[in-house]
Order: sequence, then structure tokens, then C-alpha cells
Amino acid sequence: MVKDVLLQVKNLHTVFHTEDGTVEAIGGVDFEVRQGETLGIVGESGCGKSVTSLSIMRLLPKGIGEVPQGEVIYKGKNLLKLSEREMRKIRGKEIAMIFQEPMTALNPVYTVGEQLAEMVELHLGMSKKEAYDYAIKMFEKVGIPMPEKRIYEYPHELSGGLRQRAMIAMMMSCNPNLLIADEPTTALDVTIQAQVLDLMRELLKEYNSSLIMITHDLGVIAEMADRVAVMYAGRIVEYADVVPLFKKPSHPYTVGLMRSIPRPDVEVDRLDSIKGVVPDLFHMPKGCRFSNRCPYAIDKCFEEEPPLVEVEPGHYTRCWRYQEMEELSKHWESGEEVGKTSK
Amino acid sequence: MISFIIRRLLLLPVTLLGLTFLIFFFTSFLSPYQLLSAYVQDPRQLQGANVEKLIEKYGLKKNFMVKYGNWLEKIVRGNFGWSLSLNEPVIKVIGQRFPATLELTIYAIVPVIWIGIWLGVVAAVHHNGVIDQILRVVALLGYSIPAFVLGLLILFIFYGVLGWLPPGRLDQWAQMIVYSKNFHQYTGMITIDALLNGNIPVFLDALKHLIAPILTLSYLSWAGLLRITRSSMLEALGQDYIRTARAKGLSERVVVNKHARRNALIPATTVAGMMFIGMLGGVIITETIFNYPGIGSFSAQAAEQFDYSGVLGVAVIYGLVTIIGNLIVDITYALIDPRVRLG
Ligand SMILES: Nc1ncnc2c1ncn2[C@@H]1O[C@H](COP(=O)(O)OP(=O)(O)OP(=O)(O)O)[C@@H](O)[C@H]1O
Ligand code: SF4
Ligand SMILES: [Mg+2]
Repeated sequence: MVKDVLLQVKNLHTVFHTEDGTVEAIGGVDFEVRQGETLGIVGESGCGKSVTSLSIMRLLPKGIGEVPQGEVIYKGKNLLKLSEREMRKIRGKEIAMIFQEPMTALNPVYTVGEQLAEMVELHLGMSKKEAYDYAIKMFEKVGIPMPEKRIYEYPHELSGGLRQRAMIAMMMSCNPNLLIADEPTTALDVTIQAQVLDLMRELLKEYNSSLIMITHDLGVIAEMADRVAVMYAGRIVEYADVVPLFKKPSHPYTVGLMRSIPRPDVEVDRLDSIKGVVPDLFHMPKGCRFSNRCPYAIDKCFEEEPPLVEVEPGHYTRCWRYQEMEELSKHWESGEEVGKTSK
Repeated sequence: MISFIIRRLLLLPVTLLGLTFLIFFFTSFLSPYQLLSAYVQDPRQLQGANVEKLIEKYGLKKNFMVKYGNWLEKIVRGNFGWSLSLNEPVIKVIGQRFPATLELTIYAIVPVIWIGIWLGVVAAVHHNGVIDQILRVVALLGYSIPAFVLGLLILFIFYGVLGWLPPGRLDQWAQMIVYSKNFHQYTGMITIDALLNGNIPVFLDALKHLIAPILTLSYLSWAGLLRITRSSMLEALGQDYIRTARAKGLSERVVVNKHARRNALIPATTVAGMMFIGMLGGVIITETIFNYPGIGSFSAQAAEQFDYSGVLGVAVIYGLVTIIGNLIVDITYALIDPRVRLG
């Protein structure tokens, strides 16, 4: 049974007007999120994951970030066309967002309970008293010990893990249909990370909410996602269900990411598996955006950008050489020779 | 919070002791002969007199700690000595003039804090807008005119040319009323006393005399407070927790006035406190220009005429006010910022 589509992002473009001119951070991104499912967005730092989520929420810095093109269809409505007032009713209530750094994402001068309470007062019309009682319940639900005491504490009095739990309690408090979590566990210890992910999975199941899980960690994707969008330099380069993606990655960038997952059985130098960094927005390569780092690049790659094509039903990739990928991916290190010979 | 205040209050006597010691210490730089001149009203008195005997009589050659002990014992009992410049006990001078200065400073600082902060917030929210530009120019103008120049200009134009804002504290007729039997001096602050006595004409007369000194005393401060509020507000608005607040669906009004402003007030409080203390210095110039009978004009006069006990008395009062001012700032600080309460 195919579930209902909850959110559909079509041809999303985001630009920033900076002092040095206008740059395009997101250049035409398409994906959809179904009811109750988790979409993972994965990619290195600077590839546009946060900008994508902020564009959906319409929280780009005012006067600097702008979405000149594209649609964000949520339950049949284009969010980009809503008035600011209508959009405010969506934020927090229908679509909630969890940020990476739980220290800076919570206001240091208000208690965590107050920060949760003000939200349910607004969206659920509770009184102050009801809201605080509700805050205790939510804190209990996310596993914060002594919630009736903790709600009166300030962010700096909680540990990183508890802060992120408080953040999750806050963002789940209005029972949103969609949660966008922007690297929610990156700032946490590994053991705490696993606990927080478990908690999120439980809550999503209980509320039947959808999730967009943003991360640079394919391990998190493997654990959480139903469907995955791999982003690189403001583009989606591969888009597939999680099992086919891991089984048969069809883009060199995905292959590179997978090689950089530390595994006990294989010895790899993490930093070395994809050489270089994401090009900055002012110096994008002309053809394929990955061409300056891709071990399989051929002449065509430097001339023309590949389109996103469907390699198998529901599995898309953006690479000229996707058909050879299964063979090529066996020779990552010697990729360049493979590239030359097979021209 | 309560324990924070108690801790601070317990420190108060220690600080005061240090303060008096420091003040008295400065007099030890003077030789007994110089000190003696403070006790002599007319050089002719010295003709034929035994200088050494006089020094002995006034105890000017004794050990510093003994002199300090004697002096401290006296001021604790409220005996600040005899003011040579006004020919009255210093404590009486202070009793009369302190309320006048307090009245002036309160009127100067309270609007500054309200208007300065409010304008700073407006400038930050509409940053680089028309209001922001105008405020920036005005604030710059404020910085480029020294207080005494502005004071003299106001005196010249509004008194010399237009005759609207007379110097002094009250007109002759109002003075007669204020010092008459049936006018109760509750606080020594004439505007307040006049209202308590239900005497509107006196109130208006006192206000008329206050306008020019208030302007002179406060104009530098509000430009400063506006600037610091604007920049700290801009900084606060760029923080992650502001993005969180917006993601919760809060209205822009709540985001600005609750989440950003409270954080921006932290640096603004420090500056406001420094301003208050700076005003104590400004009071000397302002009161002298407008011939306003307060502590400031007295201190100038006392210093000029080598009124040794007068200067010491004023120094103690200034120190006391500074310490109390700092205490108020610290408490306000702790009220706004929960992180301070720990220390
Ligand atoms: N306010 C801004 N002004 C100009 N450029 C910006 C702004 N915000 C983001 N960008 C640019 O947009 C691109 C994508 O940034 P984004 O924050 O989405 O990356 P990310 O994938 O979330 O990375 P990370 O893993 O580090 O969070 C980057 O090149 C960044 O420089
Ligand atoms: S198009 Fe060429 S450069 Fe780009 S990923 Fe494919 S092989 Fe590499
Ligand atoms: Mg990011």
C-alpha cells in the first residue's frame, strides 16, 4: 500500500544575496515525504541540507536568503505562497524542527519548561497552568528524570543529552505531522546519540509522524530512514529507498560516503576516501559538480552536467556513468585509471 | 536569587570600609602644613601664631592609622566635619543637597533607560531602515558635542536669549513657599514634595528649572545606550534560539520582545550602570553651569576652596552611591540572566 504524500518539494531553488553577489545554494531539489515515513537527507558539510530545511520552513535569514523558484506542497497547499500569519500556524504545530546544537538552540534566559509551555499555550490554547502540567508530561515522555523539577531549570543546568531531549519534547508537544531534525545527534556522545535516536523513533511511531532526518552520517540513515536523498553542492545526486541505496549505490559520491563509514573489517582512512571538499558557491565546476573530486570523471563530466535519471523504479541518480557504477565502485582508489580506460 | 542578594549585601560593609580607607589615604599625601591651611580662614591669622602648636591642636602630625581611626569614628556617627566653603556642618550640606542631585539624576536616567532601550530595539529590528539611519546620525551628533558645551549653549539660548529656562532650582516666590512652615518636605525632592503637598505651581516651577540640567546630563547617555542596545539586539536576533523561537510558530512580536530583548538587555544593563556612575561626574559640570544647588556644584566649590572636610564628605557620598548603584546593577543583571546567579 502506498502511503499518502505529506510533503512534496518540487524544483526548489534557494539563493543568498551576499556582499560578493548572489549565489545559488540550492539548485533545483525534488523529493517527497510520505505519511509516517522517514526521509533521510545526507551529505557533507556545506552541501545545502540546512538551507533546504530552512527553505521549507521559510526561516531563511530575511533579506539575504530567498526562494525564487519552486514549490513546497504540504497537504495540497504551497507553503511558499502562504501569508506569514498562515505560515506561523504551520510552524511548530504541523511541521516542527529540531536543530543541531541543543545549547545554542534553546534560549539561555528562560527555563526549559517555559520554552515548551509558551508553544502549547500558543498552538493548543492551553492556560499557563495546563501548559506547565503538560510540559511535565512531555518531559516524562522523553525520559527526563524528575520532570516536575527539571521544567524550572535553565538550559545551562542540563547536560547536552537532556537538552536535546527537552528540545524533542518541545517540538513534539503539539503533535506535528512532520518533524525536521537537522543533525539532532551530531553534538552528542555516541551512547547518548543512540538513546536519542531510539527516543525519536518511538515518538514518531506513537504519533504516526513523518520525519526528515538530516545528517552527514550514513549510519544514522541506515538506522532511521525509509527513503534517502543524497545531496551534493545544492543538488540531489541520488534518491532511492534505503535498502537499494545501500545495496546498489549508483553515484560515485554515495559510493565515497559509504566507504568513509568506519567498519571494523575494512581499514580505510576516513578523510581520504573522498578527496577535497565541497566547492564553494562562487567556484562551482562547470559540468558535473562532483567532477573535481570524482575518481571516475571523464571528459564529458567537465563539460555537461548530468540529469537526474531513474535507474530502476524509484531509484534516481545524477551521473553520466551510472550504468558502469557496479563495476567501477570496486576500484575506488584506482578510479582514475578506470575512468581513462573505459572512455 | 534571594541568597544571591544576601551574599551581595554581606559584602557591602567590607566594600565600604575599603572605600573610606582609600579616600582617607589620599589626604596622607598632604603635609601637616598643607592640611593646616584647611583650618585657616585668613592668612592674617597665622601672623605671630605658633604654627606647630596649631598642627598639634588639630592632630595633624599623628600616625596615619590613628588619624584614620579618629575620622572613621566621627563619620560613622554622622559627623563629617565643618565645611569651610559654606560655613555649615558638612552633613547638613549633604542632607540638603543630596536630594536635589538625586532628583536631577533620577529624571535624567529613567527616561534614558526607557527611551534608549526602546529606540535601540526599534533601530535593530528595522536595521538599516530609515529610522535606524536617523538614529545613527543623531547618536553621532550626540557624541561629537561635549556635555559642557551643550550645557552652555542651552543656557545661552534658553535663558540668555529666550528667558525660558532659568538656572537655579526654584524661582524666588517658589522658594518662599517651599521653605515656609506649611510646606512639608517629605523627600527633599521638590517635584515630588510639591505633588505630595498638592502644590502644582511649585511643581511646574521646579520642573522648569530641571529641564536644562536634565538635557545636559542625559543626552550623552541615551546615545550610548541606544547604540549598545541596537548592537546587542542585532546580535541576539542572529542567534540560534531566535530561529528556534520562529520555528515554534511564535509571532515576530514575541520573538523580538521576549526572546531577543531579554538577552539584549544583559549588556545594556552593564552600560546603564556605567552611565549612572558616569552621571555622578557629569553632575559636577551640569550643576555648576546651571547654578543648581546639589552635591555636584558643592564638590566643585569645595575642591576650589580647599574645603578639606567638604571634599572628603562628598567623596564618601559619591563612593556610597557608586557602591549602591553597582549593587543594583548586579541584582538587575542576575534577575535578567540566570547564568549569573550561580557565581
Ligand atoms: N546566510 C547565508 N549567506 C550566504 N550563504 C549561506 C548562508 N547560509 C548558508 N549559506 C551557504 O549555503 C550552502 C549550504 O549551507 P548549509 O548550511 O545548508 O550546509 P549543510 O549541508 O547544512 O552543512 P552542515 O553539515 O555544515 O550543517 C553553504 O555553501 C553555505 O555557505
Ligand atoms: S558525472 Fe562524471 S564526474 Fe560526475 S559523478 Fe558521474 S562520473 Fe563522476
Ligand atoms: Mg547544517
